[in-house]
Amino acid sequence: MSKNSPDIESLSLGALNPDFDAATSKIISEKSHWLPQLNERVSEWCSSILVMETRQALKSRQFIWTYFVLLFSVGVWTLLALTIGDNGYQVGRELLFGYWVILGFPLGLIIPFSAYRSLAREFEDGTNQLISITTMKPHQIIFGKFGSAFLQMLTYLSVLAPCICFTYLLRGISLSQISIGLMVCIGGSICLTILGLFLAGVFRSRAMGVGTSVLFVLLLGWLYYIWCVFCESEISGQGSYITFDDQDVLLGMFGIFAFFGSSAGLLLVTATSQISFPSNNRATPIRIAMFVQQTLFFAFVIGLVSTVFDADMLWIMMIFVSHYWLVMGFLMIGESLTISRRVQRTLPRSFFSRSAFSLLMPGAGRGFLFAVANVWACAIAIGLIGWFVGSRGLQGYLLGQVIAPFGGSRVFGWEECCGLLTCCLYVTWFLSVIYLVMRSFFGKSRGEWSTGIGPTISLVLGALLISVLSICSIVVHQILYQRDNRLSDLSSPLLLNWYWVVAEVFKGTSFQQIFNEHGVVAVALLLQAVVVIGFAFAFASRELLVAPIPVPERVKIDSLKLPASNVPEGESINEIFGELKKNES
Amino acid sequence: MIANNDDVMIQFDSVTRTFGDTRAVDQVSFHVRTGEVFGFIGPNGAGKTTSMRILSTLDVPTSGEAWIDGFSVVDDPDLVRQRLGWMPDGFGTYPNVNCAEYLDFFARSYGLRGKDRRRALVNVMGFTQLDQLANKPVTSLSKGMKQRLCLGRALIHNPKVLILDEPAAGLDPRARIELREMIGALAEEGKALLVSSHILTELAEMCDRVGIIEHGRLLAVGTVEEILNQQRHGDSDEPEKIKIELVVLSDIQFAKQWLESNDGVVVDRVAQKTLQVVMSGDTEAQADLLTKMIGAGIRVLSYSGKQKSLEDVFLTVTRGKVQ
Repeated sequence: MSKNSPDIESLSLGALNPDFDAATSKIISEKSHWLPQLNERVSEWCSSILVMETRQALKSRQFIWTYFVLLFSVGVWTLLALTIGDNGYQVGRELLFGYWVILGFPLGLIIPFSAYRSLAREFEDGTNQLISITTMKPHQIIFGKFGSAFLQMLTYLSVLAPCICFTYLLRGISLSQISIGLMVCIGGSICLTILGLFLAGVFRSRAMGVGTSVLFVLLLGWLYYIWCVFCESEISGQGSYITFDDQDVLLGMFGIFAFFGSSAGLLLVTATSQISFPSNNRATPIRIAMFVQQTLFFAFVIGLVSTVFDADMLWIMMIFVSHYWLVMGFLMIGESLTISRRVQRTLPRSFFSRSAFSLLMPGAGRGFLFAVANVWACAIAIGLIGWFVGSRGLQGYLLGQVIAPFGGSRVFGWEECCGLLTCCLYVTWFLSVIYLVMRSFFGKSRGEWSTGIGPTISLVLGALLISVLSICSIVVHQILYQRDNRLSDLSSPLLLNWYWVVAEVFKGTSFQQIFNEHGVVAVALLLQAVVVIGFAFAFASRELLVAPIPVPERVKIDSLKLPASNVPEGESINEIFGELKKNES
Repeated sequence: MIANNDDVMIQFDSVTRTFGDTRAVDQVSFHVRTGEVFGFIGPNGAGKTTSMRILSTLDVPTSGEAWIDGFSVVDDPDLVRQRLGWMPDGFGTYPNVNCAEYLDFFARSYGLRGKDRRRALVNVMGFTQLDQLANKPVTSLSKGMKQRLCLGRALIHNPKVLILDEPAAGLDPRARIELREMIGALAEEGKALLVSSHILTELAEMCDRVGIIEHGRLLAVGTVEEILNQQRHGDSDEPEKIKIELVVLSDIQFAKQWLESNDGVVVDRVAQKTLQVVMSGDTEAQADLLTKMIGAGIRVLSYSGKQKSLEDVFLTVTRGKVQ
């Protein structure tokens, strides 16, 4: 070996290099001060992506320019508002909403787009492959990117924090206003950042990436424009002066945060699943996120009906739930028919766990059953809410005092129950048809598709089925009955239009009436639905019979050796501060 | 399922990978043992990179099994990744990052913390001789330095298995020699290495065994000698051809005519005093020919039989095997 040849002894991680400390300080950083030392130690707890992106950001011109432009803007706005603005009651509002406009720019535009580009660039440059073969889990990669964006949010917020606190000292500004403004700014930025990460994970090809970038920038720009218009109306005194003290407003806030929060969670786990290894269980976290979203939705519904009860409201909720599970069901039906051995190892084993958790596991059939089970559970829950609130004597008071003046006049009755049943049957039928079509025509080829192709095909087919049936039924109805555009009756062709049928049933058309008027067609439709649903259930149930397989012993032993915690030995916070004190002294 | 042989670090068992109608990898099987350097040879689009991507847990086989240190790349990718270092043919960089920060990022990503991480950084930078460039931005590095950094990244967690896809591509001669030495040193340490390259002379010098792949099919596996023997057995009807290069001081035309008058001897090339001859037979026949030449009064300055190179083996193996 030549003189310059590598010293293989030094490669061993266990081998102690005598010049280790000196070489380390030279290579990693010059740590003469306690602050860099503390930073270094704290970074041991952080995601590697967060650490590197922070290092990158601190060296990037974009971050430095944004930071100083933000500082400059805040200074200029403060001077302007205090010198030429209204010095009376309005000055606090002017300052505060001006700050929201300034803060909205980095939080609403720069950070979400930076997060999007950060992940998209990993795919473009191929560095995602280098990261994905490390021992980092996909969620650590996504959360690392998100953490980096969140740190930037806090950094930009720190510029405005003293100014925002200052406005509290002025007249006309309450703590709730500041809190809500902060929540909207940070919450909105978080949601948009997650949306950016989701889009970057889903549209990975270069061609799709360009289009997605443009659309995402336009969306961010449009949202920022709306934010500016809202703030401008508040500054000019034309705003609504929301006090945020009312129970209805609080309920509305809960609804908004529940919706956006759970949607952001769903997008986050979906983005994670997009970059997961194909044999990993990518479905369960998404299904849990869907379930959480549905639960939050019901909490909101219960809050709403306990405040204002109207059967029409429940009917709208059911339509919303039906669409939600139709979309999610179609997407889940597009999953692979088979499950990997890796997932088979984690299948529930006991009777109880199989009963409770089987539908959360991956697979098209399980996905189909999960969607159907949820839509029926929602219908039952909505029915129970309607019955429970209606039987408490609230309806008499609400009908007379609250609902009637606003046009609400319905209580929850038999027609509504029939409406819920009809809605569930249609949703189950649509899902069954698409499940059988995907199984029959794309059964084997689905294994070779890249992530997302199957769900996309399934969703498109489902949307086509519903649209074609709905539109064709109306066209055929018009041709057959030569009527004008006012379609008021339920004709035989319109039985294929689920919106129409469900609306008619909710309005009071009984099942008996439908069967009397459209005997043969109605019976034929019902029979084919029973057959289709029966077949779909039979095929899907077979997936539930897949037995779990044992985990090989060596895998069990080696899995235990995986680092349980990121905290290195001898690096507890007390030890760090102890060591730092020692160094300082 | 886990492969049993403790010594085998990489095992590829009847692996097939299809993309639509294209079979990128077709029933490929081979293994690499501890401390062995296995060369993967094949033209562009032969299936080398696809095979390496499957082993690196970046792709999954359509059928067949692949194991690293006894763990399935499909079923236990997280355990495989602990044991695997991968150096791709392309090099992805991050802006505003220097060499030390780049390696530090990957060390953290492999779960190395505290002193372990710092020690790994120092060792790897020393091994790849990047310690003088620690604070240099990654984007400003030369091709050779980037390859070193890429190798350092693959080594940062001290893996048992290294998969190097075209590691010598674009390197100058000196950098190639240094890379070859590094690969040799890693094999000496007991790592299993799978190396692909277009440059066959490179592989011939560094590999213990080679696998020749074309159109997704593995045509031959073994040492160069073993593959040559396989070819001899395969073409047993034809006598073996030997290339001889000789330099004569006598009249070159006379020497040429004399040589061609012998049965089974063809003069392939004539240049000044040098003749290249192809003849049928073994080493005994070579010695006989030299004796006869001297007896015929031809003054021979040098006489050497040319060994079949890896290039010859590759051309022989791939010729007409796959359409």
